[in-house]
Amino acid sequence: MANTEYSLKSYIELMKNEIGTESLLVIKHILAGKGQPVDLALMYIDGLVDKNFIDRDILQPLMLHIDEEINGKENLADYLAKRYIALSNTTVTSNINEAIINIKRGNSILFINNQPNFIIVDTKGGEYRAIEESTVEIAARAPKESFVENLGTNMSMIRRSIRDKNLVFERFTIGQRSQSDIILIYLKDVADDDVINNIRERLSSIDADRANSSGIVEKFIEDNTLSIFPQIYSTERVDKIVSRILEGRAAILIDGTPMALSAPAIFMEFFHSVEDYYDRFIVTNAFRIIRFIAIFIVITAAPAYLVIIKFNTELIPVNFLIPIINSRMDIALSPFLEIFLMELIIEFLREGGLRLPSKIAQTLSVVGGIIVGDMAVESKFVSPTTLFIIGISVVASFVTPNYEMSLSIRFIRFPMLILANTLGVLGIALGWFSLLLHLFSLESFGVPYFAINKYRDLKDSIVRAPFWKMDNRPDSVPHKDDIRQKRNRGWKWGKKK
Amino acid sequence: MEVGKKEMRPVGKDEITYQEFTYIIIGAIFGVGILSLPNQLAEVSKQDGWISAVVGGIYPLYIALTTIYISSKFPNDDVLSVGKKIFGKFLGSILNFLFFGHFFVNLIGITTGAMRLSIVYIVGFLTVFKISIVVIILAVYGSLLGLKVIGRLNEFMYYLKVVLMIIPLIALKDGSLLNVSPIFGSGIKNIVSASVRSVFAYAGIEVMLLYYPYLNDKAAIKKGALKSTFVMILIYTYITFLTIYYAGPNIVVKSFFSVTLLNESINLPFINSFRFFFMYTWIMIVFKTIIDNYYSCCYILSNFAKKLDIRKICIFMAPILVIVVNIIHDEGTRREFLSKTINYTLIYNIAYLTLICLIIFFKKGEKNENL
Repeated sequence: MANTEYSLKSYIELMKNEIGTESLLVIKHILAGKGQPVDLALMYIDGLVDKNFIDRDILQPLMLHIDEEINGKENLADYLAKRYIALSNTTVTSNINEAIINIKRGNSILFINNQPNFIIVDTKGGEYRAIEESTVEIAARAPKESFVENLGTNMSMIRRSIRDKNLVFERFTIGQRSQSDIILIYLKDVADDDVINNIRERLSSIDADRANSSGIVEKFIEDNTLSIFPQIYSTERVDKIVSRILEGRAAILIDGTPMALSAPAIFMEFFHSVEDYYDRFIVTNAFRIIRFIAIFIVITAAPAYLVIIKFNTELIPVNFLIPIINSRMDIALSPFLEIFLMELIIEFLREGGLRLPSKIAQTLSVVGGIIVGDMAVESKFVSPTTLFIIGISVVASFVTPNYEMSLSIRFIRFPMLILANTLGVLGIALGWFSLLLHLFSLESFGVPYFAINKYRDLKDSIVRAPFWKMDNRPDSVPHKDDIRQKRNRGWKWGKKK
Repeated sequence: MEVGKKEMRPVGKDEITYQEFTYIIIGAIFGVGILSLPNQLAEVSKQDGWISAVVGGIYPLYIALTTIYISSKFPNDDVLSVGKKIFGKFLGSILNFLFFGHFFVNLIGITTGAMRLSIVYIVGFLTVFKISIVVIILAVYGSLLGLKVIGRLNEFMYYLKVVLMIIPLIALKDGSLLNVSPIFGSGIKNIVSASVRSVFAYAGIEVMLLYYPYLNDKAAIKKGALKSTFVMILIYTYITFLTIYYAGPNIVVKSFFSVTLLNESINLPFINSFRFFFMYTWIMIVFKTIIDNYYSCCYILSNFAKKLDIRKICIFMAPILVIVVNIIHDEGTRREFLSKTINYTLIYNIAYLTLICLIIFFKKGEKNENL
């Protein structure tokens, strides 16, 4: 790619070859300077740049304000950049690969006829969505900002939160066609080297035509595809990513995606919400316990109900027995079909409600919730008790804070139901047991996914310790610097050693 | 500080921590045997059954001591390769195969026990064949995941066991000291002869001989072996005492799985039988015991002649076990089978291990160091 000739014509030829003639490459020829003018060519890709910068700060000074003879000046590119281009970020280089990389990212290149050096000017712009409040993960008492599609904005939001000099941003360009920028972010003196190397290796071994979405990148680098559990944490919230970086994990930002990834992930963190750390200690813990009860209910309630009414009726106390028998009179379907169909209908409603515009979604909820639910009972299709149990498990399934994990948990109900129908309570035991075994066998970037022997991490699992007691970083995630905070309540208990 | 560094290895790598080693041993013993231990012992030694449980602890203690001794000489070889080194490849392999007998009998005992428990207490509507298929598929799945995962599973299940061991304490309020007195009243002879009956309950302790080379900290072998042994003796004594204290020796012997009697004193307001819940949780503990022993059997077979792939053996052993288990599923046949076989395999085990220890002891300093 070496230029034998530094003429503008060959520069333009080369750039057109590299960027593609059919693309939105704009070439603006300029004659600059008094006397014998110098031929300049400004190149950029339409749509990626802010034209205000180009018009006001590049073209205007170069075309109108050069009142001197510049032809034949030594190191002309450097001179022009220093004297006439009124933009903060300019680079003078002779490396044509830099030019190609930069022009694709919204920078402009100013070529000078017969000069080996050229100027790269930062004119990034184009239309992006503004920073908005997170729509998927809502928290009442937490920072509102969430990630956007623009990589630069996302990086700056993290940078604003962690000002430490050890914060590292590593850039990868992945995807042969999409050529997406992926940034790996971690704290150099906290994150474990093995883990970071592992992530780096997996990222750079991606060989696909596109890697422009967090969902796709996640699938390329995760450990176990066949597992139902997400092994990489993805979130929209900046504060969640920041706290994970501070714990010694790595964050992965992908250009064009408002979701950031954090790795390695452990099972428990999917059940923690941001507000757990902001709200009152006792209240938080109470709600966390409720959350875990809810998860248990989602997975077990319907299968347990099925087992009790189908196989182990002797377990129902007499006071409950009569209402249940009454409610089940004249119902044609078998308990399993009844529960299974109702669960399916609920999933239809959920899936439909997710995709529809909000105005039609209201109709859906009226038709689905009131008409289908009410009529199912009226027409002796399902018993009210069944509907009640299903209703409980559906409501409980919305409690899991992480969207992906809540989908996984909801999914487990179906195999569990089938197991319960075929093997009774042994099936439920079997289901839970295999679930446990599966969790123990999983790992995320060499870190056990569900570690049972990290007793120190009990400080932040089903319940959490007071904030000032969480002095160390979580044990489950390998890290170099263990101390997160030191004695914070010295004022209360004096300066005892 | 390099915290969590030790964990930075793939899950499949079969290296276990001290805790996991201890819990695997406890897990391999603790399962079905304990439920019928009080009635087995009380049949002979009446109210002194719990003393028999203590005396029976001599067997696991002996195994633990041999493990400590062998591991001090050969910290990186399990008992199978030590056997091969001492007796030569051919003889060693045959002796190891006989050693396998004890594990296999124990596995059959536990699997049939689990099936019996399920049918009696929770899923009476299922056939033996169905249950055996399901239980053995689970055992294969667990064994395929490897020792590390089994270690984690055992560590988790240990805490579940602790909870299940605490709940029966409620039975204390209904018991009577008269049920266990007079202490030593049944005579020393009966106590000792009853303690032999605790063998099946203590079987499984032998897994420590197989897994000590995988311990990442070799210095902890001694601690782990002794700790697990004493924990088991303690649990067995406690549960036998509690059962006899609650129900009395005469009622205890009339129950097949007498420990479940303890839960009869617990009443829940919204469900008719607490026993059902107890057994539901217990069956998970039994699953774990089956996996532990199934993996041990596969492990011995994979080391039989030359190193075979343990994963293939896990799969090939399943149909054999299904057939065997379906033949010996009836509780009467099961008990008969166990009482006829396990004593012999046990005597063989003790003889084999003692022989190994003696040879190591007398050959000390000769070619032993680089056998």
